[in-house]
Amino acid sequence: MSTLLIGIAPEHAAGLVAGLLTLVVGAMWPGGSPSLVDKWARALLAFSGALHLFLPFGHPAGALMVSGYVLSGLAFLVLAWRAHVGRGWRIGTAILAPVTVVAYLINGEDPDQVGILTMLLELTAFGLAVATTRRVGRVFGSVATVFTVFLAGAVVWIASFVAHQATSADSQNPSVGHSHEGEHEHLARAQAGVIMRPLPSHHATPAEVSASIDLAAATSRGVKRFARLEDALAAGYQFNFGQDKGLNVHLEHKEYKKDGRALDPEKPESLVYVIEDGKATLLGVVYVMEKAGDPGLAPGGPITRWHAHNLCVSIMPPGLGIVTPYGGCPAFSVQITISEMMHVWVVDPPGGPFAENIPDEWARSYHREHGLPS
Amino acid sequence: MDTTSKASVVFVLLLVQAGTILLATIGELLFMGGLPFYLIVPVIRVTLLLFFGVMMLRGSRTGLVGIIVLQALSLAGLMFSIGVGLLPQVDFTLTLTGLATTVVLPIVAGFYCVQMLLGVRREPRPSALGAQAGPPDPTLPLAPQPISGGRA
Repeated sequence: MSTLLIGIAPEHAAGLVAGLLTLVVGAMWPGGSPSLVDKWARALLAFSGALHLFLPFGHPAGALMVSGYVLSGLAFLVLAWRAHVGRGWRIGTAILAPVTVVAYLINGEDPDQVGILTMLLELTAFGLAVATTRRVGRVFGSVATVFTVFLAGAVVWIASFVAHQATSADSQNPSVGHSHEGEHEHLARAQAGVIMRPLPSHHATPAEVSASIDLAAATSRGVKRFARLEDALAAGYQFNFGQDKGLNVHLEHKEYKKDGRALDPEKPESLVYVIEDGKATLLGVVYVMEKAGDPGLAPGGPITRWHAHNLCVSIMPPGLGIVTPYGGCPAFSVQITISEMMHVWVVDPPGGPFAENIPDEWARSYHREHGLPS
Repeated sequence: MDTTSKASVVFVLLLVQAGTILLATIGELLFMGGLPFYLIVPVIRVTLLLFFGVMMLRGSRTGLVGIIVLQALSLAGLMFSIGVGLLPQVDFTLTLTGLATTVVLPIVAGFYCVQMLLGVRREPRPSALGAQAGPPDPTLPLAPQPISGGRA
């Protein structure tokens, strides 16, 4: 339940409640078109309309943005009313729904779970408009519905990963998915492959900065003995998924993962190497919490921010994927979220020791100069 | 409530479901190094979804049963994921969109299909009443009709 709430940006809660209340009221509203298609269209359009109208509450948007929300909200409500009374709503919906979705995507409106759900419901209304009538052409409408659902989800997905990578830019300001002048962190709430807990504060206190520096230094000291790959293998670390070459090779220690200790610089759960051209370079460690769902220890506050991954483990054929912004997995997959983890780099990469990732080019260049024979 | 418009709603839900499955498939494909092997099962699943959806629109009982089975499989997969999430090493992340696409959508689509299936079964067959075989009655549930739920 906590992850469900994490996905809802507080600024969007009023809109979500208004949308859900509209669904309830709409279902009890007497009369109207007997067609189930019209009823569904009414519900979806009314949800979207109410949500847009209530978004400005608690949402620090400018006058232009507020006008956009109000106008689109009213337009959706007018269409919902027309669907209710059985008058033409399809052409308006076929235009308004995709235009609204495009507006979200190009305006940099970072989606949280409320945003993604609203987008999905608007695209469902679009499907009802274009794929249930021969006037537009059912085949064309069907293809358009599948394509728009796919494309919109793909754009959100890419945006959320780009934002996640962007944390590397400034380790002192770990503002994943910030938008609206830094007030939100919606993309961290997209929950599409990466799960992060909201930060109580985006600015580290002097004590937290000091603690994070201490942790980085202790980690560097603690894993110095694993600078040579052979020493790590001899100590019990094993290649993850058998991957033994590349710019981002993870080795994990099964015993350290269940030793009941968290954030132990002497016994990190995983090590990260570059292994190429007969050489290996230790880049850093990954601290991993023992139990999935437990929050990571964060002595450095927002600087030492943990994350988890929600993954799809497919059974047929065996494979691994990531959960989509729509919360789904491929056919015959199990959806899991692994324990929270945090990278700490020991090679002073761009973004500092707590950067989310190291750029490939930087890692390759560093490896060329510092790699040890393996 | 007319069956034709119910079938139309289910068909649109299947289209949305197909879009979400294809997106998830691309995610796995990229993760697994682009091996086309990983396309096979999801593409079969999406093809079956749409095939049964079209059959349902044409009034086929097999289409309804097929959709019910596929939605039941989706729900069983979700239950399995929740069960696996009880293990200490992994967790299950419930999201709003996941709730919509993996719980509400399969339940609604399956429920409507069951309703339509029961509607078909309850309808007396013309042959049982001694009626002569003729063109399908457009008032019968699931009789082939133009799919339209209202005015454009």
